[in-house]
Amino acid sequence: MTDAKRPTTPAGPLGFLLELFSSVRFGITLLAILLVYSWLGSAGIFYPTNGPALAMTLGILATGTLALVLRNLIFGIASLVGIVAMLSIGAAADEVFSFDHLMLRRLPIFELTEFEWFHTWFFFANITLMCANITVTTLRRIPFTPLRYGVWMIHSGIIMMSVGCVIYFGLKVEGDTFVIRRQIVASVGEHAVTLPALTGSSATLVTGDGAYLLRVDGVDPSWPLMSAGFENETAYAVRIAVEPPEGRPFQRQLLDGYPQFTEDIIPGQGRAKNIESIGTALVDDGLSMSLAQPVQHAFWQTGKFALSLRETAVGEWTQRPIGRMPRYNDYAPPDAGVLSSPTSVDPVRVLPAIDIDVPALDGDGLGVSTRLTGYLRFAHLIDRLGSGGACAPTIDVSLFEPSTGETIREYLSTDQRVAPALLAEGWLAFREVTSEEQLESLRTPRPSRLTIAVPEAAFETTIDLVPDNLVTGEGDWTPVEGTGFFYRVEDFAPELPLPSGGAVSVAMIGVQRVDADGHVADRYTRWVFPNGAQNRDFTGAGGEEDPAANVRTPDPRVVTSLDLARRSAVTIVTGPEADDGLRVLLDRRDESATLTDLPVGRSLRVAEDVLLSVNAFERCGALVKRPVIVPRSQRDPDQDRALVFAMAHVELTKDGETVSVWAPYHPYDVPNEDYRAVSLGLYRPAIARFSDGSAVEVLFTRPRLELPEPLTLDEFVLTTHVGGFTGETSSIRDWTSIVTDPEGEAHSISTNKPARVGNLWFFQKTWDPDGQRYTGLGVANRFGVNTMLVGSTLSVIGMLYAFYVKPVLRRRMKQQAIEAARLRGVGVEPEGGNA
Amino acid sequence: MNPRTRVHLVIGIIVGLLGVVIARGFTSTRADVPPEPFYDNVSLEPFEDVAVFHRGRLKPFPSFAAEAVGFVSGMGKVRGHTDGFTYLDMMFRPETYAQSDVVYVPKKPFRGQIANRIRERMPAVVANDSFFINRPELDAAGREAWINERLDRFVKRGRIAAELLNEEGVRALLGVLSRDVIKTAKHVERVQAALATKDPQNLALRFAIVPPPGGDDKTPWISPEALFRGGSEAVIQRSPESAMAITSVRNDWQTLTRAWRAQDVQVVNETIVSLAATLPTLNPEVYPDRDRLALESWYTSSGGMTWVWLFYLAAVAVLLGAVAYQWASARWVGMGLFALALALHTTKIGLRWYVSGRWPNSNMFEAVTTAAWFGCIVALLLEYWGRKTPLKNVFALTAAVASMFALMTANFSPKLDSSINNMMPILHDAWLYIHTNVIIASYALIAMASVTGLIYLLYRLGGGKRDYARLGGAAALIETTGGTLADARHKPTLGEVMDGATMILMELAVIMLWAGIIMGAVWADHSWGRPWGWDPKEVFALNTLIIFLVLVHIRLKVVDKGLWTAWLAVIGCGVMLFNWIIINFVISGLHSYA
Repeated sequence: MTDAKRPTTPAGPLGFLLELFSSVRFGITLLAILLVYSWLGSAGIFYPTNGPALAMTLGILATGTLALVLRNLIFGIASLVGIVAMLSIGAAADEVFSFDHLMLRRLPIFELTEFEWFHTWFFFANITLMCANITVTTLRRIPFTPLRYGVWMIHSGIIMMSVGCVIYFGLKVEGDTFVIRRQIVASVGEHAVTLPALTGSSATLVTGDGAYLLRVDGVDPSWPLMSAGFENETAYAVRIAVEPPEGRPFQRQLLDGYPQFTEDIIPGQGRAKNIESIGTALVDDGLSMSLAQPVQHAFWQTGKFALSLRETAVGEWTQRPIGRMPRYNDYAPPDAGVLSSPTSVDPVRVLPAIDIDVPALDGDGLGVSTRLTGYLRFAHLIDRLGSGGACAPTIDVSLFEPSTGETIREYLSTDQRVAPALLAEGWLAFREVTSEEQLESLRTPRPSRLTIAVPEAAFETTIDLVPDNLVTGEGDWTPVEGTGFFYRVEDFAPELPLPSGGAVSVAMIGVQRVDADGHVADRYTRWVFPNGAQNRDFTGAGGEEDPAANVRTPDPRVVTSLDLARRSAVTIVTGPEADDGLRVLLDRRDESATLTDLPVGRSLRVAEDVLLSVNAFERCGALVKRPVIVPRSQRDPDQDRALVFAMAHVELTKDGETVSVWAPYHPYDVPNEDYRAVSLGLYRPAIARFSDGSAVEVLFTRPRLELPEPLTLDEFVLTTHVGGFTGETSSIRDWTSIVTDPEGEAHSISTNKPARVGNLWFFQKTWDPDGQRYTGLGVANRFGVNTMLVGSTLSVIGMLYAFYVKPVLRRRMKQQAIEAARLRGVGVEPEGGNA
Repeated sequence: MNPRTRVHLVIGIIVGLLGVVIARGFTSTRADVPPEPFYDNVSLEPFEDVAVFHRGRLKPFPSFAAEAVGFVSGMGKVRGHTDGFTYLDMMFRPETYAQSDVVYVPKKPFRGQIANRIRERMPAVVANDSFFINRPELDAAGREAWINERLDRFVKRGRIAAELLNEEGVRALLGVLSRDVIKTAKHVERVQAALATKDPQNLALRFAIVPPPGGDDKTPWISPEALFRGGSEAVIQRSPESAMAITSVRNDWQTLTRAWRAQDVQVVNETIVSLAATLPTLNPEVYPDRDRLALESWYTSSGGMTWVWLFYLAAVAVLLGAVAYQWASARWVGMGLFALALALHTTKIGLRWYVSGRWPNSNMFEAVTTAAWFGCIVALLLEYWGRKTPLKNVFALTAAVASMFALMTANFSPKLDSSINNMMPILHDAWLYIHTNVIIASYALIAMASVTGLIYLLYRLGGGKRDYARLGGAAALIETTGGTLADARHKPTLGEVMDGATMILMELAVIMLWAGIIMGAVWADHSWGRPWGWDPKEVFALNTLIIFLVLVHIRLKVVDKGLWTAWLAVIGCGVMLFNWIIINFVISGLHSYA
């Protein structure tokens, strides 16, 4: 492809450079460097991990080296045969040759993503030298003649493509955003609130007459309309649980696009319009609710990080972009309390602290400086015994099952605010006794007891769960004086067998609240378990149509606890004296329960296949959050998905005081936990508390940028294959988001069909399988793409020309020459070329 | 021994070996199995065009059963039975499979861990009578020997009984191994999924053969089992007129279940006929074309690509003779075999295209088989173009070799799933047909170029001279008129022929690969929002291209052009295969389906 005629070269350094950049060998060297660099960045280094693979690899390397040194084809072929043998045997039976690979760019000295690896100075230098080489060689060595048009097109195409790449990657902005489908606007007179139509989101609507508590109970993207004239239509339905300041709670159902069909449902009684005493669609006309389209103004950049801070939980997040971040390794200051996984067989090495200044942007106004001093790629926060705040006797216990190797580690405390007192359906308990009599009473059988308390009235009562105290049928209710509450103990079921093989005890209490007019405002059955965290209120609000709506978390105004008659099978006891150690009361199902000392760190067999040990005991213990590093073998290999396990150690300094927190990663800095659904179910801001009483919330997230045009989501369409959506991706044909810009122009975005809004392109990226409540859109610009396309197309045309047109031209030229010679009477025979 | 004789000797040995393999392929028969009256007399033929709704697609029962049984038991038949029979038998008589070694466990080291755990717990296993219900005659030593024998077979072939997988020690081991998400969790999940699939309730509920009466094409199909679980009421409520047919299906299903358990061949056969006749009448509008179902059944049961690669193998054996010895008869026989193989190959590709409703290039199996087909088509065109040159037979030979290996891989590698499923949504784009086809065609050409490169290396190993095609690749065909590659005054050597062929294939491959990469970038630009994301698949396509760019330029500088060309063609093929195998299966990227 180069011309045989060499151009004149000036002497000196310029001449040397011209010669160097005109050299094909130099170009080949640069290509080889590019190949090696690309290989290392993309696939890393494969290395043998078993003996046969090591032996084979060394053998191949040796014969390959001999082939190069001796220029002997036999050795070359032998090494080739070795490679083929290793590949084929390894592919068929990978137990013979075992390999692993090392990603160089993930080593601490590099810490680069794929994108960053291909944007280093070294890579740019290599590409720049190649472009210079191509340019100089083309200009100096390749004459611009018809025979060389192909090479010129290839080389100029590559140069043009490189320019396009510089424009493209130089101006590249890439990220993603979510657009929530609907929000609820609730108002009473001039008082109004909005909340996103995401299951679980809630709001309080404060009016002059009291507060409405609103909570989104669920959405249905295809609610079938039953009304006459609409039989074959479906609507996007949102159900909101409403607890009014007075009167009974109800559920309001809103249908998008059909405000005329808004109606209320009374828990346990059905639709309000069908209830004789109400007879209208709405229970409370004064409460107005409608669906509106929330507007998305922002998107979050891909591959970059930021800290979001704010002083109060309801304020706006202020962002501080983080510069160069570690990516794949774990870094932490020594005092950051990082724990290794207790079951780890491949402990992760935590590298020394990093120190990245994260300066405030103009107008931040928080008065706090921030530094990033640690980064954990894959960790989770767990409770550990520590001190501070409310404290109580607390133990850290492990239960080990030798036959399976399973270990359960838990905390038990005598104060439920610190940790639960009971574990595993009550068979393991932790108690503090203040006297020998109390200790003795633990060893003595007694009936199960239920405690009911209404703190606002300082009411508390304990009831023995014996048949005489249970109310069957329509028994009398017991009032709680000074409140509208009434209760009755309806049932007690000790040791109900569970499908999983265990058993659980539960007491059922009827609770009702009567308003000032004597109407029953609320009525439910409280299921009380030994483990208070399992308590639930059954309201019957959803009926058979929506069983999930029948259950809710316990009404906090009524506090209940169940103390089982049977001693826990294992009760760890502290006291009665402060310096008494721990003892274990083992109930062996007879009258002679044994009491055994249990020093910290020693194991005790408490069941046939269970060993109990106390890892730590704090007389004034509290639980603090500390990160545990997940072993590499247990990490999700999907780097993007695994990001939700990343966390940053942030130091915040205010007026000379420094406070450190571990801030878990969030893909979006959403305003509050109502938006948990769009944020991979996560909302865990860290709170840095200063000694002056102030606090700063911190989110480790991504930089947020303004969209050129705010967007709303009109519609989300799920297109399926035959048989509809089965829950499997294979049943989905496409997803389509129809978004609208402020001018009212609708844009349809689906897979492979992006839409341009402003100077950004939007791509269908993710969706919400749980009700299609929002859409996830990729956002990107694409400057320079056309330049790249023209350049690369030119190079393809050049290849076609060089490989297929040039020979035709040469043949014609030869034939013309032969013809001319023949005319001149000279004999000429065809010759070979020298390609 | 002169160089040419040595080459001929090597080729002769290769031909001989290929002949042995072909002979084995033609003569291999099913292992002798004792007669089974029930299996031998039950006719599942009426079910061959019965549609089953599975993963968003309506497929014939044999295809569905092959997928399910293949997932549970891996490659190869269970007890020598058809997959359809095995599926129904596992569903109706699960107790007969509890102790049979029918659950496939991937990866030999993983199997070794399970086998070792069972051996460690041998006393407890031997003491457990439930493992030996079918072998009551065994004493303790006999039991241990029998378990050890089965474990040896398990480690070798991969199948084990569900009961042994549920042994306490194995369960504990699987629990521990499931925590290593990098190495072993996926194998544990695979085993657990196979056990779940094998569950008779699951098999019955997945058997969705009842079309939705009164429903449309978006209404889910249900299984006869679901009709017994309250599904029939809902169906009849939606379409009261179907009540009689639904009742008929229910009754047939009940009868079939009982008859199958009682091994009553006559009732089973009658009920199958009745069910197959009734099901399409429940909703003829949504029921798929039965001819298409029958064709897919045939496609599934016709042995994959076995015959195709055997014919390619035969073509390779004969064409080697044609290339090495220039025998005219070998040329015509070899080309005939090649054409026959290509015809079979085309039939398979076309059939898959028809039954799946899309061009087959959207998963690894399809990409490999279609790439091989593209290679053969290009080879056929080049054979026509070079029919009067010394290059004749060479392209057919290279395509036959590449296709033979590709189709053998498709046939024998468990990683290449041949089942027909819906495409991922992102693949529904015109660029799938443009970008993917161009790329895989270039891969086929690269593989073919490596074959000529290897023959060139053999030529040099046998003492051949530093020959090369002086006019390069296509130019050798275009610029010469007398059927020579270089110089009309001498007959080209084998080295010149192979070097010329390598260059011709390589030039085509480079253009197609580069064009394919650009087309992929155009697709990625509007699909992922960026034309180039440095995804490993993209980078290694680029790496493959770089190898060939080095080749093009290095030919300008080195003296031994033929040797460099051959080596780089082989290395380029290695990088291409690395991209297709290692990148896809070891280093995940955006192109997980490619």
